[in-house]
Amino acid sequence: MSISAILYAVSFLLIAIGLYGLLANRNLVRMVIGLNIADLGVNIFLVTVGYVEGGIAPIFTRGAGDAATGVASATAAMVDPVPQALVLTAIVIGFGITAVALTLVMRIYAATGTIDSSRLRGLKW
Amino acid sequence: MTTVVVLVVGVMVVVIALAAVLAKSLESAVILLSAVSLLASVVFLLVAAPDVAITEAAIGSALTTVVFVLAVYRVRNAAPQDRNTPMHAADESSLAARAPRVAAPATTDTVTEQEKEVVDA
Amino acid sequence: MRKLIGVFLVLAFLFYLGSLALPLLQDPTPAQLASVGADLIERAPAESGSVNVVTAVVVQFRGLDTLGEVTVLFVSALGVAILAGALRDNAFREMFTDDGGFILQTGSRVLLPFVILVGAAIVLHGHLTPGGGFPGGVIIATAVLVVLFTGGMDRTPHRLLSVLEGAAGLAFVGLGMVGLSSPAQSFLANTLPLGEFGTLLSAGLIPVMYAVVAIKVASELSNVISGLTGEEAHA
Repeated sequence: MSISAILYAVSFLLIAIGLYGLLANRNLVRMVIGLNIADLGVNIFLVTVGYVEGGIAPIFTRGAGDAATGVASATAAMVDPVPQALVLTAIVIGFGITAVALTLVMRIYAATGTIDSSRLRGLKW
Repeated sequence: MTTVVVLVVGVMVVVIALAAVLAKSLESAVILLSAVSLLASVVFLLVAAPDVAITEAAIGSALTTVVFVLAVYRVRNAAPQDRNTPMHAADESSLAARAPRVAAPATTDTVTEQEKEVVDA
Repeated sequence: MRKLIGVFLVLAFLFYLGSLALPLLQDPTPAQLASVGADLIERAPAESGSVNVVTAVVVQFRGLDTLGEVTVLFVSALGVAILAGALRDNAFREMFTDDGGFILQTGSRVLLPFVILVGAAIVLHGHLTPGGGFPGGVIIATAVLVVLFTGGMDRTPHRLLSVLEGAAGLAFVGLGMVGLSSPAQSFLANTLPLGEFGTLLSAGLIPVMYAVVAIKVASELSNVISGLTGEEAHA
């Protein structure tokens, strides 16, 4: 089993677990927890896409290869930096989503007194 | 060697995430979510992504947990409704307080129906 | 019943995902970088002067994505402020009335400068070591959180944080506009001279922009969390 295969399986399982948390729960806060876990799974998937076997972090260390800049021999062994940049953004946005969702839950509780989604029948007639 | 470590940490992440979704009480679910976040940060470190690991540890374990604890504190009275029990009477009254708004369109409907009958006749 | 349906749907989705991604699960870890990543790593020292390639990608090569992220954070902070504006019923007063005792007060007073120092160090060294503006800003927001928990709900300067957040966002766009009038003529270009590779004063505009992003993220997240407590002392 290679590292990529293990982490792809882990990310799929996390997405599935988060989805189950969203579907099978009636408590709104548990739904947000499931959403968070699915978000985590997606982030792990994105970072694993960029992983290269035996790769090091994409930071140039002085003295590796070329004396002045350390460029030449480092490119062969570095991990892909683009998925990491995207995931950096995605994690912060995921927190923004969690904050808005939980504020909505608190407003729903203040307005109706319940956070049980099957009792929230305001839109049904 | 790294493969074994990644396997162990990956299995722990999945097991603790499953425990967080299936937890009995809301507070333990929130704490388990914080633990999943911390282990995911370790996974990011093992895949040679230190920036992502620092960001995930700071946001997932610190800020998200705080926001969840604030929300859980606020809705604490609703926690017994985790387990399929019916709402107590106080909530029925809060739902009943919105009834007049539901009744108003019905009266306007009957008015227009009468008008239509007059016009048709 | 709902749980059974949930399990069935999730298993079906997992099966679908697995069948789509079967080649991914069977192949060993790739031995070579994708072309975009290799190209960016090769261009990074010369074009951006930054040792940390992820920082160069976030601020310079994909600066537009960072602008989008800053916008999304701003909108979500706005959403939380609007939604939590109606929650001003002091429900959290009992949670925050006790100061946490002598240990928490003294401990927070000792730790607070160190937390802000660590956050600022991570931000300023974003182009040299792992970290950068986003995690550094989050750590500084955690420092504001510490003030919140030691009974200092009335001590967080809300107006200052809101002004800082708006000014930082404006500064980010303004620095990007400077790039329009530079010889490179592109929005969010790196306009300052790139110094010596690997020193603190290098990588042109990258540390400045990342520091602006860090100020924005820190003030925004502090506003979000103190807005969630729904206090009435909002200016």
